[in-house]
Formats: sequence, structure tokens, C-alpha cells
Amino acid sequence: MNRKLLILALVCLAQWAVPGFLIARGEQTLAEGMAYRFRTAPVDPVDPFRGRYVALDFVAAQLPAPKGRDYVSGQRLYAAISVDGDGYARLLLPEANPPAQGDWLPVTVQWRDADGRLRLKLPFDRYYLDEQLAPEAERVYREGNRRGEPDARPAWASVRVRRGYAVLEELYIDGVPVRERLRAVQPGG
Amino acid sequence: MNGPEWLLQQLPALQQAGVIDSATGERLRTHYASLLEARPGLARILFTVLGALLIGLGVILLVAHNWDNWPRGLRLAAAFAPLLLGQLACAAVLWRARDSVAWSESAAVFTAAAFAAALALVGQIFHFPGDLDRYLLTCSLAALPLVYLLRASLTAVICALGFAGWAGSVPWGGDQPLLALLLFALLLPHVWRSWRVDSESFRTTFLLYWLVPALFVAVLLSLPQSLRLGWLWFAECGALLWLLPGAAPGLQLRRPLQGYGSLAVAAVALAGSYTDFWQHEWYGRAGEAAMQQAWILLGLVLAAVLFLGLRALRERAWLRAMGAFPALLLWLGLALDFRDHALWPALLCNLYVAGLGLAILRAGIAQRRMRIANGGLALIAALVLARFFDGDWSFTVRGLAFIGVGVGFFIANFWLRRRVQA
Repeated sequence: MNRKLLILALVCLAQWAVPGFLIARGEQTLAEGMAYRFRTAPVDPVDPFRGRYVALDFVAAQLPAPKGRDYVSGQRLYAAISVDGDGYARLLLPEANPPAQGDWLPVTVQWRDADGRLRLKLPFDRYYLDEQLAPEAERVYREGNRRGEPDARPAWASVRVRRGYAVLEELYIDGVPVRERLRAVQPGG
Repeated sequence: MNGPEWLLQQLPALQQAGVIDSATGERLRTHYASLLEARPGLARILFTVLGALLIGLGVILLVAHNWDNWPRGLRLAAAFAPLLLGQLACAAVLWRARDSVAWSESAAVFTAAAFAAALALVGQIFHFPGDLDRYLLTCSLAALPLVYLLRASLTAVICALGFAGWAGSVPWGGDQPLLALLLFALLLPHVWRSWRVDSESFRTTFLLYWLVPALFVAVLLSLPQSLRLGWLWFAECGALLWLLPGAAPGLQLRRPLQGYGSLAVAAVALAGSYTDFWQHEWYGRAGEAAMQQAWILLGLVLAAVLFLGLRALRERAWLRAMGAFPALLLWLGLALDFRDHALWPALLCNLYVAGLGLAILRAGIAQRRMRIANGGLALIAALVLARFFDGDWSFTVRGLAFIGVGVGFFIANFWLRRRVQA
């Protein structure tokens, strides 16, 4: 009996340690990580366990790859981060090992299209929102970027990166945090 | 009706017939009545456990709402409070009411759901990516110790479903069939213990009903090119279950292993009776790690099938040995490449299904068991219908064929009933 209770205590500790570790690492990354802006387009889907979110389609997740290099779907690689002249983050060609200097992200190769462009899966791809606000975010973005005036209201995500670990901090539409923008467009907001 | 209840009902008749005297009857009545009172009702256990499961799932859905307006600390407290509650309930069960099946199952399943909810909320707060495979694997592994600490079979089933979900959501290229098998092996001691206590108890039957298909699906989803190798896996699993010592083919409610084995063997043989089946590209690309794992796994199961098949042959258990045929034919197809000669293996499968149906029918009549005899009849009827679907006949002819087979089934059943009861 006592032995079983002792084992249960260890199991309980482990059950707290898993989310506890994730919280600690997330908080540390938000506090100490370098902030980058990743250009994106939001779409609203649903996660069966975690609820509504806006799926983020990042511009940096697609990049031209040289013809000689062989990439396999599902391959895990490391991409160094650089910043463009307009202040947005972009990724360099992924390599088998992380770069010796500077920030980087672990990425997974999704596919390579007919034009030779490489499609990567980044370690952040969603921003969770209230179940009523998530579809609203997509609508606001689309209404602001109709045909004829693309990028009228650009969207980007602020991402903190520390030692290859990334936490999505905030989603912006036209320079305003998405929650604030939604409050502004909602009746009585 | 179970044993003690039946015996209690028979007591007056036994006393009247003079088989037992009134004092013995009274002693038996007192003994079994107290046993029945002490045994918790299955319905009570089911409703208690179902309640805990629903509450746990409710907690997950509440978390999924995204309580944006709540401060982060409050959201975390709201997510972790059910986990703490569940863990305290587990401790209370171990401390005080360890024999209560309802409490053990409920506490374990609620804690498993509360952990999943807490992890989901942390993911929500920090906008973790949608790695469903890692999430399901973490939740299942975190719940696994509760299966053994509290002897919680529903949690074992939930872990198995989690493992199957993990196998299905692993990103392309990350398939690991041997790891899927290893994960299910973690549940094996629980099943084995339940089997040793009573191989036909509700707990054992419940575990087998869920765990066997979950294992089958998990490995199937882990196999690279699962559409091709899946049939081979299906045939081998069916043969293995069919060949288990003491197994009798046929669908029996309390013997799910035999039931699943019979269904799998029949399904593969019927699929193989079409020539199209053998004209597929069966060969996988070699060299990939997942492919190697798949061949190791399929080879190991084949070795077990051969071992049990040879043993059945030595014991002259011909019907049992027949279960290995579809798996062996599929392996032969891999070795010899039947694509240009698809008619022959299809013909063999037709003969096999017909022979198997007749053999089962004969065994049913010999054992005077309608259920087994009907299984043989159903297999023959399925083969006849499969051929009608295969042919280029009009709907009218097919309709008449269906009616004919149905009428034949009724007549054969009537005749069989008389033979079996004779």
C-alpha cells in the first residue's frame, strides 16, 4: 500500500512536471528571447482538444532551394533567422545542424514544389483565440486585403526565440494586436 | 444470468427433487446471497465510470473554449485544479477503497482527462504548434502508470486509443511500426493479469474488444505504404488470432480474439478472391527506416504464424491450420510476383473460402453448434455474392441472385437446425 502510494506520488509529480517544464520554458523564452516579426496570413480552424485558433501561413515558411540539394519530406533540419530590410524575419536555407552563431529554428521539410520552392513547417503555426473571435480575425484580415489592394492590412506574428526554442507572443493585423483590433470592430467595442 | 443467480433459482427444484436437503439448500442460499450482495453491480460501475469520463471530457471542452478574458494565473489554476482533484481521488482510492472497481476506474479516467486538459491549456496559452502526435503520446504515457496502480481497464483502453491516435497523426515520414508495437506492449501485463484471473470476465473481454483493434489500427497506420502492407498485416493478425491454441473459429461474444481472427481471415480471403487484388504493386521502396521496421515486424509475426500453423498441423487440427493460408499466399505473392498471373491466386482464394466455409459448416454440425455452422454458411454465401458483384451481370440478375442466396440460407438453416438438434 505504502509502496503504491509512493509510486502514485512520483506519477503525480511527473504529471505536474511535464506542463510545469513547458510553462517555465515558455515564460523564459518570452522574457529573454529575441523578438522577430514573421509575415503571415491567418485562417480559422479548430483543434479538438485546445479549441479555436487562427492557423498561420508564414511567408518565411517558403523559400527557394538550389537544384542540387536533396530534401526529403519529414526531414528535420535547422534554419538560421535573418531580418530583411523591411524588418520582417526570413529563414536561410535549412541545414543538418544549427548554426554556430545567431538565432535559428528547428524546421521540418513538408514538400518541394515543381518550381523548386521548399515548404517548411515552423515550430509555431497557430494563435489561439476565443471561439467567437477566431473566425472574426480571419474575416477582418480578408476584408482588409481584398483583391486589388493586397497587403493593405498586413498581418504578422511577433515571435520570441531563445536557443532554438520559439514562442509566439502576439498576432498583429495592420500593426495592432489582433484582440484590440477585434474589440475595435465589434459592436460596442 | 450468471452462475450464483442461476443456482439460487434452481434451489427449490433441487430440494423438491430430493437432490439436496433443506438444510443444505438454506446454507447454499445464505452463502451465495451474501456473495451477490457484496458484488457491485456492473451497471453501477459503468454509470460511475461513465460519469467520471464525461466530467473529464467536459473539462477538456471547457478549456477548449479559450477563456481569453481570464488572467493567465486564473486559467492555469482552473486547468490544474481538476488534475489535483483527480490525483487526490487516486490517492484516496489507494488509501481507503482499493477494492472498489467503480472508484478505481473513475479516479484514473478522470485524472487522465484532467492531465490532457491541463496540457492542452498550457499549449493554448503559449500557442504551441499542432503536434497532435506528441500531445496524444504524452497524455497516454502520463496516464499509463494509473492503469497499473489502480487496475484501471478503461484508462488502459484510453491509452490504447491514444497510441492509435499517435500512430495516425505522426507526420509523413515519421512512421515507426515497432514503436507502436512497443507502446502496446506496455499494456500487455495489465491484459495478461486480467486474463490470468478470469479469461472470460467482463474486464478481460472489454480489454480485448478494444485493445486488439486499437493495436491493429495503430500498427496499420504506422506502416509505410499502409494500403499495400496493410493487407499483409491484416492477414497475419487474423491468422495469429485464429491459430491461438484452444481457439475455435466463429463469432463468440465472450471470445473477441477468435471473433476478430475469423473476421480478418475471411475478409482477406474474400478480398483475394478478386483478380484486381493481386494486380496491385505490392513492393515497397527499400532502404527507408520505416520500411525496414515494417519488414522486421511482418517477418516476426510470420514466424509466429508458421510456428503455430505447424503446431496445428502436428495436432491434426486441420481447420485451425487453414487460418494461415491467406497470410502465406500473400507472402508468396511478394516473393513470386503474381501481377501477371493474378487469376491463379484469385482462384486459389475462391477454393479456399469455399473449402473453409464447408469445413466450418461440417465442424458446426459435428459439434452440434448452430453458431459455428452458421458461420460456415455465411462464408459460402459471402463468396457467392462476391462473385455476383465481380461479374458483369445486370441488376436484375444480381437482385435475383441475392434473393436466391437469401432463400438458400433460410432453407439450409432450417435443415441445419434439424440436423444439429437431431
